[in-house]
Amino acid sequence: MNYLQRMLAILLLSIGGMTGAHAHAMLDHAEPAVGSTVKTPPVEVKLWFTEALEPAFSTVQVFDQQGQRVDQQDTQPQPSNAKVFRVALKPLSPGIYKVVWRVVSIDSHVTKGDFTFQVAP
Amino acid sequence: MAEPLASIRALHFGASLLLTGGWAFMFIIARPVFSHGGEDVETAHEVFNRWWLGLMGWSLLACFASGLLWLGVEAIAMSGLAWSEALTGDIIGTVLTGTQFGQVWELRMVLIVLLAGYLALRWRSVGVRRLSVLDLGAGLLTGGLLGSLAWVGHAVGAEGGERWLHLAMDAVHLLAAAAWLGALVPLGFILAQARRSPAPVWIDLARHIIPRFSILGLVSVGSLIVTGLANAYSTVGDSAHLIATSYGRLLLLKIALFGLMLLIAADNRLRLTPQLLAAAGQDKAVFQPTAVGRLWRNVMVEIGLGAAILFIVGALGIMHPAVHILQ
Repeated sequence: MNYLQRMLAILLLSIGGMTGAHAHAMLDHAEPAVGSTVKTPPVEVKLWFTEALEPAFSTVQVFDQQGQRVDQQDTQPQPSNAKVFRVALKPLSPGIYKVVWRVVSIDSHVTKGDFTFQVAP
Repeated sequence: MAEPLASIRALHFGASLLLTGGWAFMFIIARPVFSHGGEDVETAHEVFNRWWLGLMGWSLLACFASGLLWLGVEAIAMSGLAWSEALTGDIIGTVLTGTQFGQVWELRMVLIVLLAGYLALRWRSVGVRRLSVLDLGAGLLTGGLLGSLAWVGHAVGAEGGERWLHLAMDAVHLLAAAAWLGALVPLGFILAQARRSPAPVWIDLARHIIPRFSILGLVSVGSLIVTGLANAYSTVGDSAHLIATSYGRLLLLKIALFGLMLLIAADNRLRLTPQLLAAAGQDKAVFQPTAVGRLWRNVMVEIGLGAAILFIVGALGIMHPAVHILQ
C-alpha cells in the first residue's frame, strides 16, 4: 500500500467513523418521562437533549392545569454535562403538569417544545 | 428571523471568502508573475494592486457590517424578544460573553480590526512588489477569519474526536472554496483588463497567471469534493435522507451548481487555456475576442454560480440537518 492509498484509507475510515448524530438540540428524554404518570411528586424535572446547550438563553418552565408556574425558575445545566438541564419544582399536588422548554444549542439554533406528565392521586 | 439570517450569513461568508481568496490570488498566484518584468509590468502591478486593495477593503467592510447584523439577529433569535428589547446592552453582552457564537464573534472582530490595519499599511506601499512578513501575517488573519466560521456552524455540535474532525473538514472546505471561488474575482479583473486594455502586458500576465490559477483550482476542487462528501455524510447520512428532506434537496441543488462550475472550469482548462497559450506569438487582435473573451465570460458565470451556492450555504446553516429529521 503506497502513501496515497494509506492516506485515502485513513480518510475514509475517519468519515466512516462519523455517526452523523450532531444537529440542532432536540429533547432526547426526560425525568419524569414524557407522558408518564408518577406516584411520588417529583422535586425536579430533568431533560436530556441531543446537543450541548447555551445556558444563558435556555429555559425550562413547568405549569399546572390552571397555567400557574410551579417551577422554582432556576433552570440550570448539569455541571458535568451541558446536554442535561434541570429545574426545581414547588411541592406538587396530584394533577397534570406541562413542561415547556426553549433552548439554544451550542451551534446557536433555537428549538422549543413541550410535554406533560401526571402526578397520580 | 430565518430569511434575513440566511442572507446575512451568505453575505458574511461571501465577504470572508473574498478576503481569503483575494489574498491567495495576490500572493500565491499573481505576485510571483508580477515580480518579474519591466516598466509595463510595474505599471500593471500598481493598477492591479490598487484595485485589489479596494476589493479587500470593501470585502472587509462587508464582513464587518454583516457581522454586526448577524450578532443583532442572533441576539433577537436567542432571546426570543422583540428587536427593541433584544438589541440592548444586556442581551448583546450576554450573547458576546455567554455563548460560543459570541466568543467566536469577538475573536473574528479582532481579526477584522487587525486586517484593517494591514490594509492601511499596504495602501502606503502600493508599488512594492516583494512579499513581506506582514503579507504572510495577513494570510494567516484572512485564513483564520474564514476558518473560524466552522466554529459557528453545525460541526460545533458534534462531540469528542468527531467534533474536531468535523470542524477541520468544515474549515478546510471553506478555505478550499475561497482558493477557488474567492480567487475567481481578481482573476476576472485580470481577464477584463486583458480584454479591454490596449496594453499587451495584460494578455501576457493572463497567460502566466491562468496556468498557476488552474493548479490552485485543481487542489481546491479536490479538497472541496473530499470535505464536501464528509460533511454531507455527517449532515445527511444517506441517499434517502438526501431526497426526502428539504435540507437534502437544497444540498442536491448546491451539488448541481457545483457540478456546473466544474464543467465550466473544465472548459477553461482543457479548451480555452490551451488556445490562449497557443496564441502567445500572435497579435492580440487575433485571439483576444476568442480565448480571453470566453475565459472572462466563463469566469463571470462561475462567479454567479458561486454566489448562488453561497446563498444556499447561508440557508443550509440555519436548517435542521436531514440526518436529524429522519432519525
